Formats: sequence, structure tokens, C-alpha cells
Amino acid sequence: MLMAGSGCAAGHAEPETGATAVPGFPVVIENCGRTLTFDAPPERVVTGYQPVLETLLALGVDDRIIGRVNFSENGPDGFLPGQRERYEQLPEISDSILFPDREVMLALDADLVVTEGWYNFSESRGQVTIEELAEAGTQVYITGGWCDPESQRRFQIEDTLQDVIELGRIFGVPEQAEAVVDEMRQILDEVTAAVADRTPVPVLATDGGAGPVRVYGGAGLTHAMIEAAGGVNVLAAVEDDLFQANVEVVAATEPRAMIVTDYQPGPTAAEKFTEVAAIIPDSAAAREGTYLALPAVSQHPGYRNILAVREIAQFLHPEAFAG
Amino acid sequence: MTTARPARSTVATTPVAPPTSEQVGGGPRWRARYLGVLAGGTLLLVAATVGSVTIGSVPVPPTEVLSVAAHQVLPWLPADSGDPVVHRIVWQYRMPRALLAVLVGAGLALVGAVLQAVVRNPLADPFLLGASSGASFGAVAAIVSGVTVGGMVGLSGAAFLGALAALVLVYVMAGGRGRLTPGRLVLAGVALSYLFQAGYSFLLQRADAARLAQSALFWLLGSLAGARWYNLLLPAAGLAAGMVLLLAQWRSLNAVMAGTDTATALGVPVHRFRAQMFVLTSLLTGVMVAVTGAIAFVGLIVPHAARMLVGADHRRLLPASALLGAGFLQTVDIAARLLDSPRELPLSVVTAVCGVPFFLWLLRRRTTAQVVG
Repeated sequence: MLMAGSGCAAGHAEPETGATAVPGFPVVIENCGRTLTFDAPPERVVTGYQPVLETLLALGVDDRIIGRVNFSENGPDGFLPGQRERYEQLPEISDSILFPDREVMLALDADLVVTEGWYNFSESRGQVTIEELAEAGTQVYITGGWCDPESQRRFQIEDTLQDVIELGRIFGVPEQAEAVVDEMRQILDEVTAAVADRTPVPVLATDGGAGPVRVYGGAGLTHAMIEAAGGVNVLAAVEDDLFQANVEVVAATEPRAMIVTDYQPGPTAAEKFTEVAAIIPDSAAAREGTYLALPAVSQHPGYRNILAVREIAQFLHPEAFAG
Repeated sequence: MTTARPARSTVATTPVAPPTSEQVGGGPRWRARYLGVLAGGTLLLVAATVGSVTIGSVPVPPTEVLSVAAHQVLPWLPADSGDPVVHRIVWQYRMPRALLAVLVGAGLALVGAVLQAVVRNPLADPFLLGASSGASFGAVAAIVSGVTVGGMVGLSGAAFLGALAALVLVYVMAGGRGRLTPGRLVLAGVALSYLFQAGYSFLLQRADAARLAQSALFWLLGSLAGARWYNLLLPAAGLAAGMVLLLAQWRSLNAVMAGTDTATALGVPVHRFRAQMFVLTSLLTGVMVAVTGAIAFVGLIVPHAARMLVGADHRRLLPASALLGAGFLQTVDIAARLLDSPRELPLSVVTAVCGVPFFLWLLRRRTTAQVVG
């Protein structure tokens, strides 16, 4: 599932490094209630899940990255154009999308960890905590304001743009960040203009399940993307992100289209669609088999969810993009 | 199945008087009590079942629920409101779910009551002997490997295979020299449970399964949310067969409850009987768990509550346990759907919260001797 022709992936600005007095520094950023202070751009950066790396690649700061996690859950083709080669050149520190255990993380001796979620610092899973990293001199930047489950539900599309601006300041590449934000803003504006006069399409976003059904309610990133793309979430009334819905709640919806989260291992998007469509056989989405397999990577804060907004809009309103 | 009382001549021990009806809870006082409990239990079950099909995340007027049900059962009656969504919610989801609660609640309580007698241990429940952890392992393996083609059917199949594997392993481990003693059964069951638990925890902790862990966790804690008409058939057949076969053994159950020596003296081939009960209850547990996941607590507490209410005579204990188990699970499932609606709560989270206060109240009213039979 690739968005062809998104020519905004390649980073071009060569960051200035090694200067004795770095202009624009120190940079002070508030993130998840913590104050991050940078006297110079970080040189040893560890990145979390794919959307974070994509944002950093868009900023053109690959050369600072000393470790990344594994993205194979989105399949061999789950990369933005031209990014697979750059991904493969970076050292892999974990064989999954999660951070490795405490010792490996500490041994990396990073000066900055950028990740998309609060759940990446689970002590019970043997992972290093944000406090332990701080003691070791490693700062943590969490994207999308996903500081905890509650703030994860408050996500707005603007948060992704805000992240790019802040990361641009942290890495000392504000102009590049500005350019990326302009590009993202342009995509969003194009989508907004294209779907402005269209009737919003009722959408059910799901991760499958026969009962309970894993669905996306009216809070958080997936809901925000649907709204921005000219859709209306049929479960908007439920104040939640991903939740385990009672099957009759799903049975009472009438979506014209479905968005199915796509990742491996586990059932394919097609299997998940079939499962949920059986609960609402009379809906237009089920009758006509209308669904979009959306890579899980798009449903996390990062550069990619802006592209996903366009992809969802093109899926919901193909005629609006026909020109 | 052995007959209830094999010929005494096959056992070379001194004859012992069978437990009197007073010892196991007989006599007119208990009989009246039993009828009272049956009436109360039936009332609870009917009320809870009516509640279960009328209450849900999506409000449906009770009259409409009634007309949907009536139209389905007696097609010549006037059709319901005609809203296909309401019809589907009531007929496809609520009805099978309410029936599944009855079947599984009754089945788990029945199995619990039998096992508590067979291994003579008040802590015995359907999951003590490994069937549920085996089923959980099978289900998680299916979820993680992604081979759950056919959704619930594939998942249930894998779970049942897991339960069967556990049954065979426990049987082989416990029955080493042909003597299936309660101690060996329990130890083999508990040890294997830990092994299976380690197995599915490992599968879930493997990081590439991170996203699947959440749905697997829900299943591990038990849920009736997957109920459909097609997956009621096996639990129904299992419960019917289990009820008949187990109830036929009430005399032998009374005897083994009184002790191995007593039972032997009464002519019960204790080891063979125990093996049969073990296989039968494990199969029944496997059938239930395969559809719902491991619902904790019902099979442990309901038999104790029933024993306090109707006494330890299995002729009465088994039907009472089944009836109360069905009513209890039905009530708990309403709570599981409503407490956090429209989200679902796993049943094991709710069974204990709802059941423990009642059980403690019951416990305080009775003496310990009566509690452990």
C-alpha cells in the first residue's frame, strides 16, 4: 500500500554539524510535560516506529540516526518511495517495532530518542523507562502528543505538523522543517478543497474481530484522518480511539466504506473486512466490498498520516480527484 | 460409563455402609430446600435471560424484542417492526449470546461440582486440570500464527485441540502406573497449566505479536461476545450429554466424595471411575472454553454455593449447580456488556467482582465443614 507520486519523501538539506557555536541553540522544547534542552543538534538519535523515521527522513537528518527498530509488519513494500534503501542502511536495534530491552537501549548511548508512543517504555517488558534514559543523559521526544492513553485520544492532525516544526528546531534544520510543513499543509489544503462540496461518506474504521469488534471511535488519530478526508466516522459518538466494541453497536451502523488496519502477522485486511462485513451485510460497504486496507504505519503520528489523509480522501471521493 | 453401582463381589474389602442421606444432605428438610432452590434458580435464570435479550448497548424496546423473537419462533405470527438492523441485533447476536451464557454457565458449574468431588479438593474447578490453559494455548497459537481462517470457527477448533492435548498429557502424566490418584491428577494438571501458560505468554510476548496481544488477552479472560447460532450447537450437545452421563453417576460421586476407602468399600472402582470423570469433564470443559475462552470463577464458586444451599448429594447438587451457574453467568454477562458500554469487558473481570461479595456472604452464614462438603 504505497502512495505513489508523493515526491516529498527525499530529504535534501545537508544539516550543519560540528560547528562550535551553533546558531539558534540552545533549543528548549516542552514535550509530554518534560522540558527538553538541546545545546546543539543531537548527534546520536534512536528512532521508534516507522512514522517517526519517515518524519526524520523527510527532515533529511538520516546521518544522525544510530539505531532504528524493525518495520517488517508493513511488509516488504511498506515503505515510501525511495526510503527502503535508506532504512536498510541504518543499524537495526530490534527485530520488532518495539524498542529492545533496557541494556541494549542504554548501551546505544543516544542523546535523543524519538518515538511515537508512551507504550514504548514498558518496564514490565524489560524496556528502559524515560526516567532511566534521562539519568543516562538521553532525552526522549514523543510525537503526536501520545504521552499516555488519554492524550493519545486528544490527537489532532495539527499535532503532526507541530512535531515537524519542533523536530526541525531540535535538529537545527528549521528551514527544512518549514518546507516539509508547507508540503504537508498543501496536501491537507488540496484534500480540504477537493472534498469541501462532497457529502461526507459514512466510514467504519476497524481492526477486525467477530465479537467484540476492534473499532475506532470518535477520538484520536484515525478519527481525525477520516474527518479530514471527507468522511464521517459512524462511531464518532464513542469517545475513544481503538476499542473493543459490542457487536450490536457495530451491527447498528451503516457505513458506505470501511477502513481496515493492515499489518502482519495476523489476519489479512481482506479477512478482517469479511469478518466485519458479515455483521453489517446490508450496509453499502459490505454489499459493494468497499474497503481501504490502510497500513498500520499510517495510523500513528508522523509524516505518513498526512499522506494517509490524502489516500483516504481519494478512496472516499475518487471523483473529486479524477481531474 | 460404569454402572452406578458395580457388583460388590469385584472388590475385596470389608463392606461399609453407604453414606446416609443425612451425611450427604438428604432428608425432608433438604428436599424442601432443594425445591426452593430450583424454583429460585429458575426464576433468576428466566429473569436474567429476559434481561439479557432486552438490555444492550443499542436500545431496543422490549416489545420489539418480543415480536422479533415471536416471529422467528412462530413464523405465522405478524412480523416485527421490519427494521432489519433491530432484527439482526436481537436475533443474530442477543439471542445466541443469552443461550450461550446458559449453556456455558451450566456446563462450567456442573464440571466444577463433579471435579470437586472427584479430586476431593474444594479448590477444584474446570480449569484445575489443564483443559483451559491448553485451550488458551491453542487459541493464542492460532491468533498469533494468523491461521484463524473462518474467524471464530478456526479459533474454537484450535482451542479445542489445545484442550484435548492437555487432557491427553495430564492423563499420561498422572496415570503413570495405572493409578489415577487425586493428588497426581491435580499436580499433573497444575504443572501442565503452568507449562501451557508459559507457552502462550511466550507467544504473546514475542514482540511481533504486539498488536495481536490485545485481542488474545480479551479471549484469555473469557467472553460470550463471539456467540452465534452456529457455535451454540457443540456446547449444547456437550452440556446435554454431560448432564446425562454425570448425573447417572451421582451415587459413585457421593461415594468418592466420602473418601477413596469408603468408595472402594462401596464397590466403586475408584481409579477407573476417576479416570472416566476426568476425561468426561475435560472434554466438556474443552467444548465450553473453545467457544468462550476461560471464564474464571463460575466453576469454582457456584458449586460451593449450590452445596451450601442444597447439600452434598450429587443427585441434587448437579442440577442445582447447573441451574445456578446458568443464572449467574447470564447476570454477569449483562454487567459485562453494560458497565462500560458500548465497550465490552472480559467476563473474568466481572465474574469475580459480582460473585465474590455474594459468596463471602454465603460463606459467613455457613460453617466451614459444610463449605468443603
